[in-house]
Amino acid sequence: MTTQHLIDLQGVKKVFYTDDVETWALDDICLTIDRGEYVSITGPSGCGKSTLLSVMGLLSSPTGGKYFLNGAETTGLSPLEQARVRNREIGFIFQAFNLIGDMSVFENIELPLTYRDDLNRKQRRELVVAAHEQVNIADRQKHFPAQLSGGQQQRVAIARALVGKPNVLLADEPTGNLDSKNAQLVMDLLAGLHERGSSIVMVTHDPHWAEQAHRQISLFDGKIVEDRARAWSRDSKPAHA
Amino acid sequence: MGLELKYAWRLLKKNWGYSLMCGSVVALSVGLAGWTSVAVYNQMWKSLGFPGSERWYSVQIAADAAAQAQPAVDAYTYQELLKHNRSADYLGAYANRAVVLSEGQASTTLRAAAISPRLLAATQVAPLLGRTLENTDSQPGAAPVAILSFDTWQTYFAADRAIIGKTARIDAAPVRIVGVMPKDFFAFQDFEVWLPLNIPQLATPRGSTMTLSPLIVLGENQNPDTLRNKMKATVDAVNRDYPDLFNPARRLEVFPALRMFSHDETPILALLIFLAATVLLLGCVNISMVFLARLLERSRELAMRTALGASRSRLLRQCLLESALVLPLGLVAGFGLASLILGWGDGLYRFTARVLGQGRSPAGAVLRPIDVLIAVATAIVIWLLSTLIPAWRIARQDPAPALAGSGKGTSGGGGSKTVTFLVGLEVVISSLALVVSGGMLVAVKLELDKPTGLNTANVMMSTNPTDLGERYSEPARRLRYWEDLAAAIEGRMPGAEAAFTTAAPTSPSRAAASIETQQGADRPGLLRLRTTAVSDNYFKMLGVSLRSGRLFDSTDNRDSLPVAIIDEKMAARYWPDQDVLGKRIQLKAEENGSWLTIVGVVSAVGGRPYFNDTGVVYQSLRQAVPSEFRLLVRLPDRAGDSRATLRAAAFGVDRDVPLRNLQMFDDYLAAVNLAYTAMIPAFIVVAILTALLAASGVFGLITRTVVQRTQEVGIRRALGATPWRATSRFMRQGAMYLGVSIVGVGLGLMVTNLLSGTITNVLDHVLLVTLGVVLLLSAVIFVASYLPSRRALALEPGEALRYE
Ligand SMILES: Nc1ncnc2c1ncn2[C@@H]1O[C@H](COP(=O)(O)OP(=O)(O)OP(=O)(O)O)[C@@H](O)[C@H]1O
Ligand SMILES: [Mg+2]
Repeated sequence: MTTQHLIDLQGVKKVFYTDDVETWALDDICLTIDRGEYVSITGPSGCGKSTLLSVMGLLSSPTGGKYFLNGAETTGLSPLEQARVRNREIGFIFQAFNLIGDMSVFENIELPLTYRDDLNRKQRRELVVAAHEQVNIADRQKHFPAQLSGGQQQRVAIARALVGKPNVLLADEPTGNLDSKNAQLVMDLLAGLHERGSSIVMVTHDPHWAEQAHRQISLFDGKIVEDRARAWSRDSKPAHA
Repeated sequence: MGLELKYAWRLLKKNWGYSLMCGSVVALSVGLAGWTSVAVYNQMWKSLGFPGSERWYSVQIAADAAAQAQPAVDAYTYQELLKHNRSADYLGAYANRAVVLSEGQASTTLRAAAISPRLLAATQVAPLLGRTLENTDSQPGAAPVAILSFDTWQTYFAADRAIIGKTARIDAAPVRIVGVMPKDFFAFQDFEVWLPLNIPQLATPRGSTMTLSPLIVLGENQNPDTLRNKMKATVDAVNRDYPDLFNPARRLEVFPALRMFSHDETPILALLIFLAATVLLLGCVNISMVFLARLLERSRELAMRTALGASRSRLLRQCLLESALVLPLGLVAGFGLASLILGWGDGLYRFTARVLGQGRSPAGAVLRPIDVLIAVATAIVIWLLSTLIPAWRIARQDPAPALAGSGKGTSGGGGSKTVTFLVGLEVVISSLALVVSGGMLVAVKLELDKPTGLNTANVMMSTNPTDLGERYSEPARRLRYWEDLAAAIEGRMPGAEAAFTTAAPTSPSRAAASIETQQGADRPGLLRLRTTAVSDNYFKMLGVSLRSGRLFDSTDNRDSLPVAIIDEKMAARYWPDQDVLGKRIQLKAEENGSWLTIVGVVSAVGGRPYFNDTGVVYQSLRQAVPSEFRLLVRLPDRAGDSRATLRAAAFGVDRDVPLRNLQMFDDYLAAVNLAYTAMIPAFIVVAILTALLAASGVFGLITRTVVQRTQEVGIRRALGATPWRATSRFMRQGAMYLGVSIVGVGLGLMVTNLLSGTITNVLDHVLLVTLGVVLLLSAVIFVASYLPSRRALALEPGEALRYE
């Protein structure tokens, strides 16, 4: 098998059955993504972008096909193993930030680490502080999400996504709720992370932001209709170097 | 874990209203469960307090087909049982007696058991001093012996260690003390002395009024059913032999001895358990509704946790932990509540037992260590029942839609109709209970507040009648005794005044009577009037005032015209608008008693709640000369130990005639009326409990709707609805429950109407009470629906739109 691919989707289908309507959100998707790639996914509304991302993130399981993450088959994983994979290998960023309102910035960022039992308090603190610095929000540790601007909130969300040093960042319209200035800030941050070796898969509506990725995939009606790669060097450092 | 706990605590504090509600529901349920378990244990399972008591059975007789079995068997039947059941090795019995112990400078009436010697021995409790009873003790001609209880030994014999073999004066005869039982010994009832049981051989049941409580101790391989069947045959034979004395359906029953006095309480206890379980279950439903709503509200957060790698069990743990924090608070409060109620009940019980001179149960109702376990188990059951299902549902939800930011995430899900119905039911039950308990509360309170018409300040009474006995069969001797006793009391206690009566002033006994009307004697003997014989100074001493005619005086004696004084109630009832003076009453009509001429009318005496009073006929003590009496003494302002002084005075007059159970009259009244006074807090508790149940139900349901509709409220407000209009749908939902509550109020009024048969004044203020209940319910329902809808309003319209 192709152990070198970070993400390897083989004929993935996702069908939603609601009452009597059958929605083919993903229809026979074949796609491989390697370490260090920066991939954008675009397409009209309802074409299945978010669905594809949540399949990649093990948030929903495909109706058919196979999905290898880091060379390992994921379809047979128990919910517990899935949770572990999400925790260790995947970082999520959402359009709606999804920070927990009753937790401080520090606690929000620390949250994924608390689900691991191989880290003590001190190690966790070090990782959280490092993540703070990466997104340039160190002075807001004690704040609560409601006391932050949208851009700041999204940066906290990014810090939370990368604090556990995941193999891949999955971003679903990370700039959707932001003005252009803050959006630029977030996109620069993602670009910087990619420079330093992170693998990123980002869903976006905006062609301008899609341009920033090195590889652009277009979906239509649950199918890949275009897969265009800009020239970029394959020998980038892996994310967790 | 630490972090989760911290977060859970934060949420708890933030949603303090919710936490408080859950906490109080837990507290009430735990309190109720604790109290119920103690009550049930006490009545049904508590062992008799001596080894092997689970093998003891009580033999009881039900007088006819409809009657409950009582531990009272006539001596003849018992004798036959003994004769025909040789196999019941330990068939024995005890009989209640009152004996007079004269010791030191006072004589006292004690609760005694005349008991089969082998029965006392079968308890296998070693005496503290001396021996227990032996078979020879009850043989005819045996020297009289007695065994003392620890308290009797302490109180009347100064804990004399050399008591064994000494002689005490019991019932005016010397009796040898042969043993002292240990401190905590308690067999069946609170006895102060044990005497050997002596039953004369009876040829027929006629002429013996003695009743006994038989008990059997089963041997190794005996079973109670075979024994019962054998004994049944004996009872049937006695029934057949004496059809004029016994109902043919008179039957024998056997109960475990630990339930000998409480076996007929099973239905009440079952009802209690059922009610407690219902309250518990409804409480769980309410909590789980609120909890589910709160989890749904946070479904996005929980989905995010899933995305960050929290496993299902981890999520479940977080959810459970948050709700678990309420537990310890509710548990402590509930346990406190249970012990408070039990302590209160025990206090009342002790008070009545003391004032009315009844013995106590061995140990009052107290919380045992196991009740802590029961309370904890209850709390955990509530917790799991009410949180596991919602938490499980949330932990299993599909995280992707919730995270996408547009997912509804909060579809109400199944069970919504059931829940609506349940809450409606709670509201109905609660309004019913509120109307009934409110009505009872007001009615009982007003009834208790009615003046007695007596001046009872500083009045002491011997609550149990003193029987003057055979030595005073001469009326003249009885009259002399009372004169001597009054003089002795006034001599030892300057300023005191003594009066005598046959009945307690608030409860004269009934006697068949005829009265003379203009048409002549009216329905001879059919009338039953309340009557009491009193000394001359009785009325003045108790502040009963003369309305017309005269009071008794020294001219009323056995040789003069028999006279009576009646109270104004009786005068108004039987001789309305007539001059009653000179009219005549015949007491003991069936024995053709003498006709009494009415010479005076006095004010009426109340003091007994819900007693259908027809008035009282007073006779002169000097003319009636009863063989039993009660002493009433108005104590001087500064009297030392007045009980001791009074007892010493009585001892001085006749050492074998003690005054029984001297109590302040007000205490006596309080003890007699306790069943009613205790109703007030009980009804308050019921009212609070049901109101809380309804409130938490409505609160939970509306919280759920609000969570589901927050976005809708935002949209409405964005479209220009005022905050009030936007949330009016929640208030409407509340109003619907108010409408439902009217059904409960109607049912409550029906129940109240039924109650008015016994609680005669319960309808007097029914309008006010109903109005109050409706107002209270409106307030409760308004608050319960306003509080959650405020959440939807607190959000900016924009925020609400983004809100799931
Ligand atoms: N939980 C669900 N149940 C039923 N149908 C669903 C569900 N989630 C998504 N769908 C359907 O699957 C299709 C793809 O949805 P998806 O959210 O992936 O679209 P999208 O490309 O992300 O659109 P957008 O750009 O508007 O976010 C849609 O037609 C949607 O209606
Ligand atoms: Mg989408």
